[in-house]
Amino acid sequence: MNGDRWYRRLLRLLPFDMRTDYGRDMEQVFREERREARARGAHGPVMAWAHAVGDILAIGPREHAAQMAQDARYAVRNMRRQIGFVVIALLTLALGIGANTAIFSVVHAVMLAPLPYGEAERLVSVANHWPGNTRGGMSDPEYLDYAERSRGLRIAAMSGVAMNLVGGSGDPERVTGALVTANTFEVLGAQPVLGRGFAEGEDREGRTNVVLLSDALWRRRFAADAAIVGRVVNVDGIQCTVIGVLGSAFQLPIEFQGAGGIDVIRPIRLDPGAPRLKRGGHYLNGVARLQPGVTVRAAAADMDGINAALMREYPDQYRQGGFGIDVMPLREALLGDSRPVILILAGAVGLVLLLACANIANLLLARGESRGRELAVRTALGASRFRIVRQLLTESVLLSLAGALAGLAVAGWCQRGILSVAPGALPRLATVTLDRPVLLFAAALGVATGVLFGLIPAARLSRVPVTASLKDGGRGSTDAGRRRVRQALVVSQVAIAVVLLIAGGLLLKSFTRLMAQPAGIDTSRVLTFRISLPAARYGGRPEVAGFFSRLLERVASLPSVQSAGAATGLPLALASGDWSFDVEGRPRVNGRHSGAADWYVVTPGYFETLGIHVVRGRTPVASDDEGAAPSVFLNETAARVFFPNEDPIGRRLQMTRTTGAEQPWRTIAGVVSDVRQRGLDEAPRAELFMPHRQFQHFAAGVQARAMTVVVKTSGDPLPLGTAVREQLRALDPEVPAAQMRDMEMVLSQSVAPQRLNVLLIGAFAVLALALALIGLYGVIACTVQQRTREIGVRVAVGASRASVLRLVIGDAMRLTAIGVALGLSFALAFGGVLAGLLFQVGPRDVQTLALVGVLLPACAALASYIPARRAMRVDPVVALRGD
Amino acid sequence: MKRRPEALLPLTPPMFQVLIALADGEKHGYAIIKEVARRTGGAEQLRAGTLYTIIRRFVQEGVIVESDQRPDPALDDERRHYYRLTDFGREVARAEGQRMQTVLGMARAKNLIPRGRPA
Repeated sequence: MNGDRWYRRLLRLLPFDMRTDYGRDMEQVFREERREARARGAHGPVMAWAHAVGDILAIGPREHAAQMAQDARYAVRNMRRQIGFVVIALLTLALGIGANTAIFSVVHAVMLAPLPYGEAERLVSVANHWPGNTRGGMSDPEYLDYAERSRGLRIAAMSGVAMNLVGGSGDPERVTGALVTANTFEVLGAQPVLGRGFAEGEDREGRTNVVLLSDALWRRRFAADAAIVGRVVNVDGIQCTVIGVLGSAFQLPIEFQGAGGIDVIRPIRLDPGAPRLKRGGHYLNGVARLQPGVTVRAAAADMDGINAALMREYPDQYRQGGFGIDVMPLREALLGDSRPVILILAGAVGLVLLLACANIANLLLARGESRGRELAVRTALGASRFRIVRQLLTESVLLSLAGALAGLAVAGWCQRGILSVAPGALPRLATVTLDRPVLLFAAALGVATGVLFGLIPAARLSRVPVTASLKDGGRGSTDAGRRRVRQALVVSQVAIAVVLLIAGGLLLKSFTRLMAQPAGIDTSRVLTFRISLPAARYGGRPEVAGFFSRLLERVASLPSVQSAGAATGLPLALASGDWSFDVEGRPRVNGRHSGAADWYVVTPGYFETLGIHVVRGRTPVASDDEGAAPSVFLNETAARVFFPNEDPIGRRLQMTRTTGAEQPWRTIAGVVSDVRQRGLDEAPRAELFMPHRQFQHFAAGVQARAMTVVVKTSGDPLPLGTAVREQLRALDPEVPAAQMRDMEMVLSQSVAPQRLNVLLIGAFAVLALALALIGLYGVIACTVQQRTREIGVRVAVGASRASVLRLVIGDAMRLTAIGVALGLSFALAFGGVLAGLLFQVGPRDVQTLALVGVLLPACAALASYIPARRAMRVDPVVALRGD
Repeated sequence: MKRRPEALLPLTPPMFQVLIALADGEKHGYAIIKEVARRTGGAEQLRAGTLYTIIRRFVQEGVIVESDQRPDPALDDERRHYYRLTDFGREVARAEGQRMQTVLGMARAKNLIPRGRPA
């Protein structure tokens, strides 16, 4: 008896049908085999069992496969008969699964894909914070102190910087480079694929100049020359020996935020022996590896202790207070604020897929009303309910897998769209592809979707009572139940559409508000590009300022150019940090300076070219040169903050110096209008502007060598690029112009993340609305068809056409109203999750809620009007006879 | 539409053996296994799983049917199901035999099988 039970368990490996049909017979046969085997001796039963197990293991998978193939063949045959339904379902699925796959590929690239480092989970970011800056960098002395004192971390530091590269094929090029400490590759657990990484001590003053190249640069400029190691290239006027090439997948942590990759990496120059007094230049990004056995929390506590000690040792440097060190997992630090954005996008697109599922489930149910008879015949012929459910599920999974395949095309298209709309909107977004995990996701989603939208119809259709179906051709007592299911589906569709429309509406309103913000500049017809002079050939201020004066002169003389200027920053794209200064006649209190403001170096013509106007005094002029009394210009915010209720013109201020020469007292010569330097969503900050020819850096040997040039033209600015490059070549053939674009592009790129949100959520919302309306239309049309007889009776006993119309549209509006109410309550309850993405709009903005609350019922009325008209035309004679 | 028996060919050796076993009358599963083993001198040992996948396929294809007639319950276990060849099934068995004969003829023509030796 026991043997029977075990054999029965073994039979579970066979398909359900086969077990049901032949399980008992097989048990019987095996029982007799065993009886006979026992007669053959002790080993007989053992052999019988071995054969039985081998037998079932061999046929089980084969039978399952055969059955699936049979179901699939039947499904395909069935679908061929319903091309219209298949096309609509495929289209819906392709959009739903495609959009989800695209968003998953983003989620994967940004959040899930492993970082290109060894044991990346042991990496942390090390950042400083102080009032007004939550994630700031480290200064050289701070880095050296942290690295020497920390017991729990091995810390590396790096900083992105533009470099001029001469070497290999092509013109001199301005590339994105990085300065890193020599231990960077060891800390990251990554090595170059060719050559070697930096050796210990190669970041100390006085060592030979070496450089690592990115895979992309190596291929582009050096034709993937395998003998590149040992060759010499010119970086910023310095001869550097190439010691290695990095792998194509390698990226420094500082690259993840931007779209462009770093092409050249050089060791930073640190001097551990120098006094560690000037601690204000927070430009280094810290990355560290946890020592074995050390947790993030322990490392953070360790760094807190080090920070406290340093604040005691250098009280003058940390007078402001509120200074601290943050240690957090690198992945978390790189994600930054993107996590909620990604989760919201994933949630929204998931809702769209749910809606698509509901739609197809609805279509399947509607179709099922006509399939009832076929299924009843199969049941009568002995097909079990399980068999029917499996057949129906096979059909829906097959359909949705086909949809997933088509969805891949949609996903690829979406990816390209996302990348072109907002390449730098999310960290690591540039690495998004349709790789294996994404393909697997699409396949899994295909199967899951098929089961999801197939299950309800399969469960309901398989319950059709045989006799009723065969008798009246498909209309039975289950009609009412099925209609209720379909109505519930439509209500949830409307609710989902409402939620997405509200989200889309809020983001759109927010984006409109954002774009309506005055940038403070005139972006029309302005060409801009970045120039960076190599320190080796442009050592002092006369060379640097002279070059820019000559360049601007040449550019200004070009036809169609109205004005030209240059500055160290660029509104909406490039902002500086702040620097402290003293105002004449205001003594320091407890060693504190009078104030700190963002600072820029500008040439004459800069303000005029960007349409920044003078509020008081004047703008820089050519005579603001070395020989003249030093002047400085403020923006309105700086004037208001530092000189409330007084006229700043004529007052003097002095920048704090670090290692450079004594800073002069500068007379305030003008106040200019505010500019949203850091983006449309950030209020203007206090800013100071110093004339280029009068500027001397706060640190020794530093000049304003990297400047952004702006050119106002009378026509389309971009074609002017060629002429500008010619002028540049004539001045110095080794200095390239980088990031050439017009200011409209700068503005557009500055709102890329917001635009991405509004476009994606907006698209999802429109899709959701369309799907919900199709669903509603389907249900109402079907109801009208089923109620033809009832409507006929009503008309026959004197109901007016208008009352029929009211009846049908009333049905639709009832469903819509429930859906809208559900959606609105959901939006009210969970709107808060959107708050972080909104600008000057509350997540429960009444206007938006009201608009959606009106828009959706209006659309629903339209969608149900078509079937309602059909109902109105029902001829009672035909309707009653037809039965 | 009348189906052509050739559509099911070639049969696997166990399938053909099952048809041969049923050629002289209806049998239940265990009897088929015994008959095949006896006839092939134990070379073809069908197991329950293999046998019933064949039976299932043959029933679906209309090659065999479950027999309505049962021996006296006193003589036999009533749980057993008996199967018999249909007319179509007999045609299939014949067609397979014909096919094999043709193949054998080809092999003989090339002297791969000694002539005159009983099959």
